[in-house]
Amino acid sequence: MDRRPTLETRPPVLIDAVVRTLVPPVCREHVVGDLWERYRSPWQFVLDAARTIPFVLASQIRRTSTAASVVIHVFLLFTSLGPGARRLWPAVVAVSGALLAFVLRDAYRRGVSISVKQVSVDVLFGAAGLIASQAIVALVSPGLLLPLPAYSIGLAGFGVLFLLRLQNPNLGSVPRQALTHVPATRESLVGEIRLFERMSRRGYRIEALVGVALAGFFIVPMVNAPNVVLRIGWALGAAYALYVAVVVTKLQSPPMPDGLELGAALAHYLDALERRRHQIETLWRWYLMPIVPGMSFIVAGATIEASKKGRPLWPALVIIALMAGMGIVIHTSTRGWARTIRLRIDTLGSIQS
Amino acid sequence: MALPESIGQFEHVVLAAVLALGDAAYGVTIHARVEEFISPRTVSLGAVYATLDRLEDKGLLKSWLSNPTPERGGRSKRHYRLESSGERALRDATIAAKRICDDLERIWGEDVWTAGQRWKPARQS
Repeated sequence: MDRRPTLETRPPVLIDAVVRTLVPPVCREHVVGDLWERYRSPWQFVLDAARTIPFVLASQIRRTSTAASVVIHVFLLFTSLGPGARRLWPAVVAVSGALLAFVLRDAYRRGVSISVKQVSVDVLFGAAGLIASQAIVALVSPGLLLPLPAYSIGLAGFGVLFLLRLQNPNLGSVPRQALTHVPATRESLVGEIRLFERMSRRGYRIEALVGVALAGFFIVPMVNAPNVVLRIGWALGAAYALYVAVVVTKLQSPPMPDGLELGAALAHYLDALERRRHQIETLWRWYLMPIVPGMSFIVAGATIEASKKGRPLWPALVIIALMAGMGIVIHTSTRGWARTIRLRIDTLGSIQS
Repeated sequence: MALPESIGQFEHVVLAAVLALGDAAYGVTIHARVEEFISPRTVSLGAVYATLDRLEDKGLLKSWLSNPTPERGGRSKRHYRLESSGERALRDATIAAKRICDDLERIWGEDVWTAGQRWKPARQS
């Protein structure tokens, strides 16, 4: 493609390169083209770009980072970096640095990444944001630095974020264009179905593996629990983790057989999407509610133990509030995911009819 | 029947500009038409993009990339077109605005349309 303009007036190469870099790749083509078309002088071009890019970036962030995904990131980063930080503000600075890096990475990514390599790069960006925030803090206010032991616990949070992003690469923010796009050929529909199946398989496997790992992990506090209430709580927690692992294994739809005609392939896919939508809509029933008994016993057992030792009881209330908040966030975001699947079902259903 | 998507004042202006421009609706032309509509106020090109993105996410607009043109450094234009839901939302917002205009004209008189030359506020502070 010939990129040379026919007019003499064009932005200086260096300024143009900076502007191109700052505009998110998804909208770079038309935004930079529009800025070129309005070009009158280097100064006007810089001003025009400076008045345009913040809006374009904010709009892209709105599209790529849903409120639910931000809350989940903050929760995981805070619960992993917070205990090691011991004070509030160092944790706030570290979490903000990592979160900003995640949000910008998602905004400047070319489409949704599904490969393990790409998800690893995303998480490395988050870690780089954390390190950059610490480098700035070291220069400006060393008192706000995160203590070194916090990094070892923080690694667990980044590990969970890696798994979560591997399981849900777009974290619920699917562009409307992708949902209302009508596949032009049988091959493109089959490609979409195979990608859906691959992502579903990966998601279920991660969920099942995490369930089994958590069940094993919960045995340690169960054995060492100082009272029977806590022991029951951890046992119920382990049972819950195993229950989720079993349920998600059974939820998997059978893969589409090879060589199906367009109509049959579409019917198979619509059925799989409908099942997925139903699973997501009923998530609160089979995923969220079963955790309540175990958590109740754990909080009650910890409260009994705290009162025996004369410790304050407020941490139990904070944990209950956090768990309830996470439950509400997950429930709200799953309703949004179910709506996006409904839109895809409606779009594909219109071809079928 | 579900209510049509509600739109804000600026979204109303942008939708009107897209409809008025027809096949020629893309970033630069939409921005120019919006500035005509809201004159003497001005607005940045970025604010127009952000609104176009939002309207597209609401399903009121559809967009596609055209062929690249040399005067844009070989880059494509993103063209916009109203979806039927967008046209319905624009009509509803315009009807509401018309009702407001009619009522205010009754209070202020026809001088309100003469670009502030003869018009005076009803309430003097």
